[in-house]
Amino acid sequence: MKRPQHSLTIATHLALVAIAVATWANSLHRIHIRSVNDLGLISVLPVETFVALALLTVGFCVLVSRGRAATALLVLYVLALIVMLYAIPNFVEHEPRFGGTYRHVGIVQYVIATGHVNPSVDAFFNWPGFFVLAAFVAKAAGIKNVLGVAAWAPLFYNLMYLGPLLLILRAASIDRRIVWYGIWLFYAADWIGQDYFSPQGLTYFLYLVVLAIVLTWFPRDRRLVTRPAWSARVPPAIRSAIARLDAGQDPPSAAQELSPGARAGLIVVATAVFAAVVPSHQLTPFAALAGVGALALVNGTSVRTMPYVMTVLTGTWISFMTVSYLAGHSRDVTGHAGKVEGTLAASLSNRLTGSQLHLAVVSGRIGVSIVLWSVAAYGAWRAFRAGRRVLPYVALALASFPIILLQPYGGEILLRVYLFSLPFMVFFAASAVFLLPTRVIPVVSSLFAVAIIAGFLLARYGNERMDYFTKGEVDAVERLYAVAPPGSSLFALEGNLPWKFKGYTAYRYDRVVPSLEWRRISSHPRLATRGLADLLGAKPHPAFLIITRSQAAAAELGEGVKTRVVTRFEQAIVASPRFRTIYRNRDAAVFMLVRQGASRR
Amino acid sequence: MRLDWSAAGAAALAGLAVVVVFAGTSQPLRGLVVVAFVAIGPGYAMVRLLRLRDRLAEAILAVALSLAAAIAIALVMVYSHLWSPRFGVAILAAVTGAFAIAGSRFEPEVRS
Repeated sequence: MKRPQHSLTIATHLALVAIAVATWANSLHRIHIRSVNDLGLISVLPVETFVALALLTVGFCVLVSRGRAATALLVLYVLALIVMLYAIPNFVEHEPRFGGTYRHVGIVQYVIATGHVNPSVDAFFNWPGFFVLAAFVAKAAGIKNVLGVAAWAPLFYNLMYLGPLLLILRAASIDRRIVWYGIWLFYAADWIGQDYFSPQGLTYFLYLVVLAIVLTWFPRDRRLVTRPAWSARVPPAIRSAIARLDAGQDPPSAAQELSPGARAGLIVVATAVFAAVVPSHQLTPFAALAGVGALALVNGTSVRTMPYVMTVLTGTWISFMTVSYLAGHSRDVTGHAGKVEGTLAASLSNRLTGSQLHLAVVSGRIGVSIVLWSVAAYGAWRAFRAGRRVLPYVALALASFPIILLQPYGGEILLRVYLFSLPFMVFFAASAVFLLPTRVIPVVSSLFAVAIIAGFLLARYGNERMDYFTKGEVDAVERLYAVAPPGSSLFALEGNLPWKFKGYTAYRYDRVVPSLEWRRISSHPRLATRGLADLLGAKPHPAFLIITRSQAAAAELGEGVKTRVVTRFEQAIVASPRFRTIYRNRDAAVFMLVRQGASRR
Repeated sequence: MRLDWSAAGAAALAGLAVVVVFAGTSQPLRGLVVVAFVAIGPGYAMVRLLRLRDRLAEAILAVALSLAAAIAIALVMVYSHLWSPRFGVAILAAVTGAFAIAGSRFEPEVRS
């Protein structure tokens, strides 16, 4: 008797997903990215985009609350969510977004062209795994337009994350509702934006796989439980508190089904996957090590030797393969020195000079993070009270926080820690919702997820005014490369522009600010052109300057410098005899420094 | 000896990838075949040996291992100054074939 009703439900959900996706797709036509203000993409999203996402979320929450939902249907919902959250820019922006994308494509192009890496240039060449992989595949596959493919990285990365996330959450709970709602929260809460065409985007997938293997096939074996050696040395009160956290029910694991050969094989697989992380990114190996190490420390896994192997692998790479880099840059070993990321970092620190609207974005980011962490903490408490064994996942949720100590500048690393801990935070947040009375679960889960998604749209795309690029800007950079001979000095006011996608090592890239301060540019633009000429003149000739809309946007978002300051400075440069205007459109201008002797000839 | 059809599929994809890379086939065939092979093939042939009996886990580990293998090959090519993406694909194809054969030789343990 239940069959017809069941198939009706499936049809209803299929229709709902179709309507949500269609509404979303239709809403994108009406987005004018040029109208974006300091709130980011959210300022130009039509109401329909929000309605579509809310509809999809409510449908999913109703479905998942039943517990017996068909996996295929759940997957369909999640795939729709990933597309609707992560592919918006691909449909509303004409050029690939984010300066880092262009820079990374430039490194890939360098490897394709030369067949080697140049470790003395910068950190990327010392952890080149991602770049040589991309160059290898692009060249073998005959892909010419690497930039065009790179623009789709966020979508592909997030699709890749789904698999290991499922394994991790399945190991954490036998309650399918928690597993799938946790997945939903993960995608709704990953506002960090590290999933662009980047090493960390790839190594995050591998990080998830390593943890998925350890959690799925190597949980603590109850028959082999021994107290960790360190537990004898802690005070009895703490020891008993840990023992209480450690008590309770483990979810059943897949470990028992495996032959000894398969277990050995899986350890080899986990080690091989980790070994691919080590030469590909500075920070991710430490996060993976912290995660597996924390598990071993709280007796949450049977592979207690793995952290030692991971330490040796990481140490070996750093000691032998990154020497030329470390020699010159010992202070920022674990961080990227990119300006865009620096600006992101500033977003989370207490910078008060940015525009008022942008401060709302910063508050949104902090708000989403605090809400998620708070609900997760509550969920961990509820799960503990309900008799679940929470210690391994609490350890994983907190494991990456000590990495903060490894890195010199504060804001950026907090974002990474948020990301590394996210799978475990969403597990506890989902547990919090599904340990509520059954009646309220569909409503509460829907409201919570919709709220997080609203925060996501504000937080993730909050810098869109500086992160999107126009055709005019990319054309100007192309023109710059066309006129500037190799060896030239290429200056930008500040680093947020779509360049370095070619000639990565062929030019000397530099920034005008802060050598020339915004204060000087703002108060005396004409005088400042002299300072500018001196700055460029001190560098190898010929020297060029490119000014773009995106740089002005970044200056305003990050430092509260009004756009008109940049416009006036640009006009002063046009009028200055020391510069020749090479190219100009409404979004960008390229200037060449006129050498003093040459100008009189 | 029993043929493992999935591993045989990976080996066939490997063969196809070598053909399109060395013949310089036009797009989009070349791009699709090479990307699919490099992202799945070698790892899948390896993972089949573990007999995990969990399709999702096999697929995930196949992708992760394939990417790890491709990173390893690419790094060796770059640091040894023997950069040749075509031969890189050929080496990955050989590895895939070897693991596919190894997988076919061992009869899976029959369990109830």
